[in-house]
Amino acid sequence: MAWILLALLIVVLAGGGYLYWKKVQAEEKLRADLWVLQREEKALFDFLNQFGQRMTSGTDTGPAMDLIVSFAQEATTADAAGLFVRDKGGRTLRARVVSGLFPPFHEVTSDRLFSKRKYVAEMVKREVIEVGEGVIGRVAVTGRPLLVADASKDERIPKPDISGLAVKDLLAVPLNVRDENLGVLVLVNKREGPPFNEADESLITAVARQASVTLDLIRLHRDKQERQRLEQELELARTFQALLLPRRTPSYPNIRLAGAYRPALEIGGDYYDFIPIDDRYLGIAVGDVAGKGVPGALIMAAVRAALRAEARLSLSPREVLQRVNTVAREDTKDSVFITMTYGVLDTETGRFRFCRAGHEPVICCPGDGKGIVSYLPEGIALGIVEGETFGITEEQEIDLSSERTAILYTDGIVEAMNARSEEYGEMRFHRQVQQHASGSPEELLEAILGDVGKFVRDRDQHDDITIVVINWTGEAKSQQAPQTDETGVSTTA
Amino acid sequence: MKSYELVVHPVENEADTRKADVIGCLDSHTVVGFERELQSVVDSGANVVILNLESLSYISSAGISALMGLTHRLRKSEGELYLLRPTEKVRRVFRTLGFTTIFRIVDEEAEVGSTPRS
Repeated sequence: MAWILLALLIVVLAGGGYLYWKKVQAEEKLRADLWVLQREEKALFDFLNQFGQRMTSGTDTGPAMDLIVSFAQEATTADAAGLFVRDKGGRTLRARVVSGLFPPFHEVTSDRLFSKRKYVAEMVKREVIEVGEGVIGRVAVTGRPLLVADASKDERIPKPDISGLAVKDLLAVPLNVRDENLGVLVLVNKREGPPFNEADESLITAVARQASVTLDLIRLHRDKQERQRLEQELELARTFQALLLPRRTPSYPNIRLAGAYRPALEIGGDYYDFIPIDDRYLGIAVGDVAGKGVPGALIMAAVRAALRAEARLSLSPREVLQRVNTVAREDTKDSVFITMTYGVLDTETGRFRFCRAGHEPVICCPGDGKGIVSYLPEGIALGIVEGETFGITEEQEIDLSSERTAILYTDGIVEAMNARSEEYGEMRFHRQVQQHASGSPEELLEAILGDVGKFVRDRDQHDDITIVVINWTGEAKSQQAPQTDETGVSTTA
Repeated sequence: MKSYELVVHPVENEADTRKADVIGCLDSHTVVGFERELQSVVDSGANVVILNLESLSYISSAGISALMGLTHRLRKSEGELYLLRPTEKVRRVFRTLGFTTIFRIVDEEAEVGSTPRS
């Protein structure tokens, strides 16, 4: 009896002991879970606190990204971390921040380069990862975290044959905001405790979520500032360019002149000028710089100054342009060029001698329904070739006493586009000139610009439009019949 | 919205030669991406670049400026830019600018490297 009681006591005690042991175990697990949660909460709090303090103003995402990486690395005790951000086009990823000995995720052929830590980071930063390519590219596509506790068994993880760069475990978390992926945060080789686990994933995912929102805000703020800066630059360029235009249009007994300049929304580099050389001769120029905004306007200002200085020293437009070319060649980059038509008008006889430095042709129309003559002498744009090659540029003369009207213009007119991306074109331009050549230069300008406006309608003007009309009002000389081609346009080169 | 595309092809047996088709329209907007892509073609070790312009429908002065920049860069290292079969419209733009004497314009790939620069 007594031993039965003893046995029962042992069973009760053992059962009690077992239950107590289970309870302790459960408590331990709870404590561990709580610790993980508390750690996560504290880490997040610390992170947000630091992040908020540092990111209240500023438009550079660099410090924010540094902070995300260093925080994620410390919180998880990862050996290395890398933040891969999508490039502007969104199709490729590049490491913006690399910390620790981060392994290259592309095949590596030489380990010589990797003898020093800094070379590894440089190499990783140079890598361009296609979105969808490899583990990092995949996370950017799926938008879901990837946890690899044992990388040795995972074929997706590269195995560089370089000591110290093997991946043991890995955690890659996407940086998503709304439905957009901004990049991927990658952590490798956890130093303390078990390999990366769900607790790390949950913590880093929470951090990544907050970081993405901030990065997105900084980006939006920066874009807004960039837009404002561009608008200011545009305004400055407009003001500046307006200063380059002639303040008054000269008048002569037998000559009437008119010029118009219509800037595009994104300012181009057009300009025109009337340069009185003396009482009889007038320099007339129309130019276009292959460069927009302030740089284009500055180049044009330099060219204008050179032209104004040189024009007074010679009545030969070829000589003048040759000197201007030398200035432009010295002052501009190899790729920047300026096209220009410059001519000298004898206001007494109506003879207009001109050169075409790669510019649009000069067109003439005697009016009265007669055809257009297009003058296209040999010529090469300013700023590209040395004097000797530029020498192919030819001089040509137009006798306005017989041609009546000459028009100098920039390509912005014939290349003006409508909403269907159709060009205004030379034909329509010539037709307008033919129809209105008998009117005053101002009427002709108005008719052309009005017709371009009607054609383009509500589409933004993408390039500047410049036109100069020279009209002979003196006695008309008998006119030679021009050779016209099948389109009704005769070309003289 | 007009756009452009640059399709790069490897050239067999010529390590320093790259060929690319320029498709669409090169204006002041698309030229930014075009210049960046051209730069990465050069950075990949190209000394001779052949740009097929058959499908280039429009080129603005900004686009021509990019081609001019590349021509100068390649020539500095004894390289060359070849412009293959530009359309009549694009050729006309080159002619107006007087650039047919500067650019190496070819009708056949076989002419690459054979014609002297004028």
